[in-house]
Amino acid sequence: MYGLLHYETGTLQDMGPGWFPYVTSVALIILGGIEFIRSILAKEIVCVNFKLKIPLYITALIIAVAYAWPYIGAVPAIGLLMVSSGFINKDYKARWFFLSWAFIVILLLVFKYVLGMSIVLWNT
Amino acid sequence: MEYLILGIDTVFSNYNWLYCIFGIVLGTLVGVLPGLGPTATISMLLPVTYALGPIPSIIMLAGIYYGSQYGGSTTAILLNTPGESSAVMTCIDGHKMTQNGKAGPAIFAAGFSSFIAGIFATLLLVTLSPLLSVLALQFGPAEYCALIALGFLSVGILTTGDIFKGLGMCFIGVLIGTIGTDIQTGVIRFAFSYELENGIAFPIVAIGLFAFAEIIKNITKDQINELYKGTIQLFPSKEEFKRIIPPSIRGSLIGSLLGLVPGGSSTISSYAAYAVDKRFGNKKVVYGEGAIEGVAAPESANNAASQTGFIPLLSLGIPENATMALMLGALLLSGIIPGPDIVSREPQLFWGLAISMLFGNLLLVILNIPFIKLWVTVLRIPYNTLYPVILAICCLGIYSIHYNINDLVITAVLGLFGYIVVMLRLEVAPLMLGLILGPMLEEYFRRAMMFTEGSFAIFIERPIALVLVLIAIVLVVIGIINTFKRK
Repeated sequence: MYGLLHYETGTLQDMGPGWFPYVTSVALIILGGIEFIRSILAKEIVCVNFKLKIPLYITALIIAVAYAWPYIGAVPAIGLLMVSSGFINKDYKARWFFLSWAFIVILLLVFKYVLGMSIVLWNT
Repeated sequence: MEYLILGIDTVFSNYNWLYCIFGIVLGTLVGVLPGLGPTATISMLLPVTYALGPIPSIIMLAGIYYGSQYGGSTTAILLNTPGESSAVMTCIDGHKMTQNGKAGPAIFAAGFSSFIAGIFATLLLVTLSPLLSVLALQFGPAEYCALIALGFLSVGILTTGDIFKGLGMCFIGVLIGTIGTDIQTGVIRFAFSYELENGIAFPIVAIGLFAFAEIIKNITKDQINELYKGTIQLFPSKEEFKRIIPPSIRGSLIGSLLGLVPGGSSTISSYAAYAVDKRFGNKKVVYGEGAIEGVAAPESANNAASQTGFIPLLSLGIPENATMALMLGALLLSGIIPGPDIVSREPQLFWGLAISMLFGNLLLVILNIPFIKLWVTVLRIPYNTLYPVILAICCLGIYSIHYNINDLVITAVLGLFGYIVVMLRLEVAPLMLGLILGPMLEEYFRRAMMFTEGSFAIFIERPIALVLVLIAIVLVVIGIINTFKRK
């Protein structure tokens, strides 16, 4: 619907950039409508137990690391991601963190010096 | 026979076999690492091929290409993270097999079925190349549209068993696929303030919806243990080995035929092979619950398609995807012009490539069998140690695609969306198909409508398109009946 409002739809012969997204959204709305009716008519109700605290934390963590990455470089950014995600679990140990971080640093060195990727390892 | 000897002679002279081994090992590695696909690897190696010459170059690049198809399946099976778009279907039964303690047989099935497909496709390449290239030319915009629509329907119905939910997921994928520059008008759609002119790359969506969602799902569990706690089977039993062969042959046939159709055919073929096998394959097993057939069918199909994809590339100069376009570039750089007469004009290149594929596929199985034990060891690492590493490798892979932090942000949001989708017991595979094929459907549909001045008659007037449309209609009817029966 956003496509319909912001992009020209054109005709079937000469389609504009909004035609295809518009038709796809209409199809999606129809399918959604059918599913809505089916769910109302359903005799059996299934409850889904969503646990949103950890999923939201992980999502926010990746976004925060993504924005910090250009300022601190890849090695600290990845380390930050690993330590902050690892310690969600109380059994996570500092030894494991350092071992796996060392592995990632080796991988980063391979990416940069063997494959020639332009990754900033450490931003001073 | 004379040509086969020429091919063998080409592979085993001038260290060409070494380039083949280098290609498949590198291909397997880039297939395993999410985000770093064969396209990026080949583009980095393109300057090297200029110095190597056409034959070693194409042998090495082909090795990278089909090696990555195999490597992509390993992470799909073990970690539910498809390294390649063609490995999405392998996740369904492959990862379920891992959860059932059968990671070894699943990896073996992926390798062995790819080997069967490799032999099948290579034989097809050497025997039917001129004839099949003519068949490929029969496909116009209408046929492509009908084929893609058929793909949507078959995957939508057969992976979820519910046509409405399956198609709904497909259309969400199609909508995500519309993000980026509209090819015909140059208008940038749905980019908002992000740098999304080129759309959202496949690895971003795949890692978000599969890997991140899987990690989130696992760590929200009350108890985090190993990926699998019991005894892990390393190799398939005699009975399982026998079960690999029929779906591999069916998958090889489907993949070989669809490989001739330019445009993401190794992905389409893996979806088609899974759908066909689920419908007509072994009725005694439950697909989606860890059936070895569900690994063998898509894996053989994507490998066969990636090899027969060389037929339109060499005889017509039509690359089936971006990776093949780079290989075409490497050939052109070396002064080789593809054409229908390439077999007679460049027999050493053609037969050398064909035999190198046979050799490479055999090597893939031999080299990877000892690695099964190593790969399976990953499952023994406590998950609470493993998931930060997987998360880090995924982020690294995504960042290295465009060196853009927005890609990471999008993947994180898609990960949360993927978790919700998994919790609602919806299938992600149709969404991935919609994302991959949606832009192609739009392009071909627009072309078809432009040719016919907005008339749908083209879908009836052209025989191949008509047959595909009729099959699609039958599928819709079957899908609706099955959905309401299930209820």
